[in-house]
Amino acid sequence: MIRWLLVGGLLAVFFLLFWFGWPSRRLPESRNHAPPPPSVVIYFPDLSADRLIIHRIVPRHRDPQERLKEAISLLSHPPAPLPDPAVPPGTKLLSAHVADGVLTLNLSKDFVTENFWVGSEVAHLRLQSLVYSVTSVTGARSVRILVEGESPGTIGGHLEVSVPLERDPSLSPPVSGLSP
Amino acid sequence: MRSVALFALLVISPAWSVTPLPLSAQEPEPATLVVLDQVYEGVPALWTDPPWVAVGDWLKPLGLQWDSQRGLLVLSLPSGKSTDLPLPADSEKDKGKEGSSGPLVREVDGHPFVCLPRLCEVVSLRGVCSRNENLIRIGIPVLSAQVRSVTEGYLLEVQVRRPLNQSPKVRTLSDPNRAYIDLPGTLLTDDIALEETPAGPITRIRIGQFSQNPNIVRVVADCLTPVSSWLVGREREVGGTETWKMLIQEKERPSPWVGQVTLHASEPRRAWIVLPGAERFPPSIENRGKELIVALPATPLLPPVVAPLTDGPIASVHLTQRDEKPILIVSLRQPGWGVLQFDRERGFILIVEPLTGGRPGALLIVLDAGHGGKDPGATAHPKTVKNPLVEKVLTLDIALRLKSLLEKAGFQVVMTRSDDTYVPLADRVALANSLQADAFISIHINAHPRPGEKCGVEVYYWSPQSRVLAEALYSRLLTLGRGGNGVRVRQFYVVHHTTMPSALAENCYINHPEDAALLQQPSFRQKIARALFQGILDFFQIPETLERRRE
Repeated sequence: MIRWLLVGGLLAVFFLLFWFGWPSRRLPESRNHAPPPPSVVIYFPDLSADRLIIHRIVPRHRDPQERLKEAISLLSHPPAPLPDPAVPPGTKLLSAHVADGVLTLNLSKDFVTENFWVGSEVAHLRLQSLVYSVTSVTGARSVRILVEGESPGTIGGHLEVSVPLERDPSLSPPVSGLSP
Repeated sequence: MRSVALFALLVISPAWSVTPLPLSAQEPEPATLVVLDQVYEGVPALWTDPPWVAVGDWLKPLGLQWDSQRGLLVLSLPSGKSTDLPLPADSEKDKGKEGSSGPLVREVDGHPFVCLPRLCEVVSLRGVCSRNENLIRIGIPVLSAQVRSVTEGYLLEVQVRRPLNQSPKVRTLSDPNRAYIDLPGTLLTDDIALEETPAGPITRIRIGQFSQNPNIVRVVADCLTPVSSWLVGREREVGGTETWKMLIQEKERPSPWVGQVTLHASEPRRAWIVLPGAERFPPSIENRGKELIVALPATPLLPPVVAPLTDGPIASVHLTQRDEKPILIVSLRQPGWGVLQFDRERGFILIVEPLTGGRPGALLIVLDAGHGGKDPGATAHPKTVKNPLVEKVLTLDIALRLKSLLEKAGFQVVMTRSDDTYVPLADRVALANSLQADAFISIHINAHPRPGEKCGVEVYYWSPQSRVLAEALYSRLLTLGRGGNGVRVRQFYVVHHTTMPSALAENCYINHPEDAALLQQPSFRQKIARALFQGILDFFQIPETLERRRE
């Protein structure tokens, strides 16, 4: 009986090794040749230091539209310890497309929540977080913002969104991590 | 074009008085006349050799008009004076001659007709006739085209026989890469001097009659790599010829340049100076009362043309150097100020206006009380205040206080809103632009998502011309003692789209306990208004003593 158990055990070990491969050979192989996980940079506003924070993520999706949805979801609900959202909570991406380097984002009406965009510099940093992030995800040069398919023109009584927005070069360079 | 004939430049002929044609002369027929860049249909013409054309409006582009009282042609000169044609010295030589060396004007059935070859000779033009098409074209001959290497790139220089009525157009094209200049009102001739020496990215120069109706000669520079091109100006030579210059730069090697500084126009209270240049290399301006110092990004490629300066706010314009960098010193007849604007076609435009000795009576300020109506702006109810604070209420209160101060000092003031109404940002900007206001001040109260985290003042601007105004306001707002977060360039709608110096002031934080406690006090809001008022006075360099005297 014990002999049959040993034979059965050995057969099971050989079967597992055959099926999943020899661990000492596969591990180095995966370390050497598998592509590194693709990551993209999402920018969050640091409203205490008036600048943007670099936040690197590994997207869960390969589809560009899904990646944008993931980015906008993150921007509306920043992961801890990031304190400030870039777009109003609940904002959803309805559709997106790129033409001639211009990314058009069609967002849900939550985006124009008025009391979110108060304070001119705060509003500017938040909007630039969105611009920096979605241009980082897609490689587009500029971003046109639509809400429910139409241009809101201006938001918050300060900001112009009637034209494609580019990254503001006058902002302080984005940094990794929150200001102390 | 079977019977196309080029009129040769002829010896100036004398007789110019109106004399009858022989009875054998043909009947006049309607012809199409292309005069420089203008087209005239149905002009009576006699298709004799040489051809004659009835006097009419087509003479105007040539600076000519028919004096019916005296029966002769009158030529307007650039100086504003006029002279009769042909010149008396030529009249003697013309006597007794016929044809192209004969009289300039003759009468046919009681109407004066002009001999085209004679006219072309007198006004230094070239003519081409096509009997089959009933078409007569009169244009300015293009004399030469050449390329010259300069520090800023390559200059394509095109010389024409007499000054053009319109500026040439300059463009670049790709696939294949080339830059070209279109010269309106010009005709191609056989004796053009074309220098085809390759230079830098330019492999060859081509020239052709791009359009016959209207007359346009195109000079093309074929290039190896993508290029940018600009019109930098012109030089007028002693013999009456004119040379237009186009700058060509490789797109991958942009460098600062300044074209010909030109007085565009001058009125008693405003003058415009054009400084051709690339948007990415802007000049900067320093207002110094009776002098404006314009720091140029490069030495101008051509000498300035800023005369005559008989009236208007500018006394003289002088190109010199400061710390080995080129500057333009604009001397004013009385204290004034200047602003720079960018125009895609012409480059930078310096607008100069006088302050008339510190009298702000002519200055119009548009005050913009932020938010309003359905847009309350920021709201807060810190424990330090009794009632909730609403941004739209505070901004209107401060704007009205500032209006009162400005009007007492003699300014004209227009408000974008005077009560609790919603005014779209585009309408606020349109109001200021349509009124051609001298300054636009947008008044706001700031807010932060974490109440109490920030306090103090900030001022925003967009265009370089607004920097001085923003700094003047900020400097005075700091006297409130609430601290400051700086003067910043931001593309906020109202400062982005206004064409005059404009600034957006954030006057403390509505949700900071100490700021809020102060903002609820009328005396503090008066202090804010007063600080903004003093900043405006500083910007216009109006002595405060004058304002105190009025008070």
